[in-house]
Amino acid sequence: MTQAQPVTTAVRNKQLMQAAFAELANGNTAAMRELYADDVQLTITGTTKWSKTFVGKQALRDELFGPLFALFADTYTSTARRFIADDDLVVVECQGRVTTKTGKPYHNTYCMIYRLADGKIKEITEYCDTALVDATFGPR
Amino acid sequence: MSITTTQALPPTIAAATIAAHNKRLMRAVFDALAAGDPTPYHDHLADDVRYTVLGTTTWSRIYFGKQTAVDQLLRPLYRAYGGGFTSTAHRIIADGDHVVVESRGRATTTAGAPYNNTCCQVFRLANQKILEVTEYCDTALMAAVL
Repeated sequence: MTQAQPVTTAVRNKQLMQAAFAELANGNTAAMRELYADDVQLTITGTTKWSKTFVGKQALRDELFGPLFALFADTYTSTARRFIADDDLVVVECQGRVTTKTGKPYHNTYCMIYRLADGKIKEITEYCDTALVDATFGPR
Repeated sequence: MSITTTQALPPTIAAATIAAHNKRLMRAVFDALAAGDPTPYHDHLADDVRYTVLGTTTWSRIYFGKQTAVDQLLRPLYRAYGGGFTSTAHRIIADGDHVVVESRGRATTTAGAPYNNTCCQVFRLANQKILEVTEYCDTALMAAVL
């Protein structure tokens, strides 16, 4: 039975992320936000001005999502193409879609890696087209 | 090394077995890359591999077939890295026929610029061959340095 345990965890975590992304595809961010642990850490990889580790749900809202979503003119959606789950990790490849207030389409491609514990997201590592981030929001 | 008995196993166990096998294979490939040896990586690319570099750089597109990927992507990149290239995997995630590898590259360009990219690659494997690569790199660094 011990060998079957990681499979069960992976399947459950994948279902949680699939449900959250089903909402994000329609522009609803609430389900995703509810999955964040209070001490969630989000690392944006790369060399952009957004590239750093945000520590805590509060910091995510105040320092990342708040300022970022303030630049968007319409509803941000993200459509998942593939879910890959292994024990406590879930990888989601997804396509973002939004228009900025300066009128630029911002359709970034992402590979997100989520680490979950007890049904909550504890750690997020984000890979995306950082050249597009620079082109859209300006370099660091 | 080859798996021939998975058909008799329940699907979730079979997928877990394949995942464990694929993870071992990619770990060996990246152990070699960490030591600067790209040969096992090249050897495991299927002839009809579909190699996608995501993003908006001049390198970003889908390379169809190993020959195209080697001639138009891998070989030119290695040429750009004058002093060799290593890639160190820090997390390997496997699920069925997919393996995700987060890695840190280390290279110096012929112009002398450090090129230490963070990269996440999604591999789809079958029969010990890589059929599909989807690469998420720091494209801003790519555009700035390469």
